[in-house]
Amino acid sequence: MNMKNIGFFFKEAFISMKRNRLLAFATLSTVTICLCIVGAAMLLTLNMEAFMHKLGSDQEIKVYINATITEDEVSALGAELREVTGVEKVTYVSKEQGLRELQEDSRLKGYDLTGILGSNPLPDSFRVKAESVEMVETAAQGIEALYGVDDVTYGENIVQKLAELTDNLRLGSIIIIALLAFGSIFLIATTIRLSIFSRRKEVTLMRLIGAGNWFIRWPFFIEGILLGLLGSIIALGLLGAAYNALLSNVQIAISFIPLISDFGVLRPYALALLGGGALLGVSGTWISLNRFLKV
Amino acid sequence: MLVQFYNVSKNYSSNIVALNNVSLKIDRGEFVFLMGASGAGKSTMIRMLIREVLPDEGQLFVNDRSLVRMRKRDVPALRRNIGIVFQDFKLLDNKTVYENIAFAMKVVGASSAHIRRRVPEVINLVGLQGREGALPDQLSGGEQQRVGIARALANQPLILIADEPTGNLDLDTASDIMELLYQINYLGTTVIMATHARELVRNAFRRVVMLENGMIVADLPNGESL
Repeated sequence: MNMKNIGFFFKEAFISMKRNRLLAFATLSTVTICLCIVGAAMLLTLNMEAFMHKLGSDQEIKVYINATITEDEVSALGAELREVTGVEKVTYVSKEQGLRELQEDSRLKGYDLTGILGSNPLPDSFRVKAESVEMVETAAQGIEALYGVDDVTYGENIVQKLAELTDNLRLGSIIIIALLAFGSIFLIATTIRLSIFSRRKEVTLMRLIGAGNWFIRWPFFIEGILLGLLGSIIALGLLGAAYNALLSNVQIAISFIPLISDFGVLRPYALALLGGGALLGVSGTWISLNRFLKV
Repeated sequence: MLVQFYNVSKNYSSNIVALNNVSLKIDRGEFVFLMGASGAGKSTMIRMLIREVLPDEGQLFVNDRSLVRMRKRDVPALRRNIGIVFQDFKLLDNKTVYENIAFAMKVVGASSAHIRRRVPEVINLVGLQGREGALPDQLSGGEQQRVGIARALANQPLILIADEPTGNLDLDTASDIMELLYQINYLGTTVIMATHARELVRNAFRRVVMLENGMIVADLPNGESL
C-alpha cells in the first residue's frame, strides 16, 4: 500500500460506514456480542483449567513402604522418589505420624483410635506431590517399580475425570468460538457487500480510468478491519469491566474457586481477541470482494 | 501508429456478431469518428480499446502494445493512457466539479501538488472557471459533460475516447461540446468519437469510419459525401 493514499482509503471507508450507518451499527453490535461470548468462553475455560489444575495437583500420591526394608533402604527410597519423572515434593510420614493425622480427622474426633485398634496398623509411607495433574499418573507408575514400595494409591478416578472434563470444556469452547466466528464473518461480509453495492458507480469509474486493483480494494478492507477491530475493542472493555467486578465481589464470597487475577496471564488472550476481531474483518471482506467486486 | 486493429472479430453469443474482420489504423493526432447505428459495433471497438472486451480473433495494438497478449495486471496502466468521456457523464453526485476531476487523478496515484496544479488547468480548458464548487446536479447537461471531458484530460492521456458524448444533449449544446473536442485535438490529443448523429459528422470535415453490422463499410478521410 502506498502510504500517501492511506488518508484517502480511511476517508473512503468512513464515508461508506456513514452512508450505511444502520447496517454498520448492527454489524458492529453483533460482532461485539459474538466476541463478548467468545471472550467469556475463553475466560471460563482458562479459569476452569486453572481450577482443575489446582485440584489435580492437590491430589497426593501415597507410597506405602514395605515393612521388611531397613531404615537405610527407606532413606535411599526417599532419595530415589525425588528422581522420578513428574515428582515435585516428597514428604516422609512415619506410622506414628500417620495415626496422629488420622486421629485429627474431624470425623474421628472423640474416639481413642489407639485404644480401639490396640496397636498401630499403619505402615510407614511417603507423601508425594506431582508437578501437575497430568503428571500424577506418570509419577505413580514410576514409583510402583521402585524397590521397597509396597503399594501406591492416588485419586485415579478423580484425576482422570478432571482431565476429561477439562478436555470437554476446551472442545466445547472451541466449537462455540468457531460458530460465533463464522457468524461474525458472514455479517461483516454482508456489510461489505452492501458497501460495494452502494459504491458501485465509483468502483466502475475507478476501474475504467485505470485505478489499480488494490487501490479499489483497500477502502473495503479498512472498513471490514475497522468493524472487526472496533467490535473486539468494545467487547474487551465490557469483558474487562465485568471480570473486574467478578474478581472484587465474588472472590470474597466463594474463595475456594481461585479466579485468575494475574492480568499478565490474561494479556495474550486479550491480544488474541483483538487480532481475532481484525482477522474476522479481513475474512469477511475477502469473501465479499471475491464474490462481488470484479476488478 | 497509435491504434491498430488487425482482422478483429467478436461474437457475444453464437448468433450475434459484434465485429466481423475489422482492420483499422489510427495515427497520432488524428480525430476519428466511428459512425453507425446502435449495434453496428462502435461500442465494442471502444470497449476493446480499454480492454474491457477482448477480440475472439485478430490482433489489436494500442501504442504498439498488444492488448490480446497483455496481462491483466497491466490493464490499469493502459487505461491511464486513455481518457474516456461517457454518454451519461458518470460524474460522482456527492463530489464537486473540482473533486470529481481530482478524484480521477487521485485514483491513478497523482501527487497532491500535481493535482492542485493540474485541476485548474483543465477546468480553464473546458471553460468551467467559477464552477469548481458546484455539485453535478447544479450543472446543465452541457456543463456536466465539460466536467467529464476535463476529468478525461486530467491525466494527460494519449487518446481521448468519447462514446456518444453528445447523446444526452440538445443540438446547440452538442455543437459546443464538439468545438471543445476539436480544440483538444488541435492541442495534440488523439480523439476517437463514437456517434450515430450524422448531422454532427457531416459538417466536421474529419475522418469518418462507418460501421454496419460489425463491418467497416467506409473510411472517409474528410467526411465527404455524407
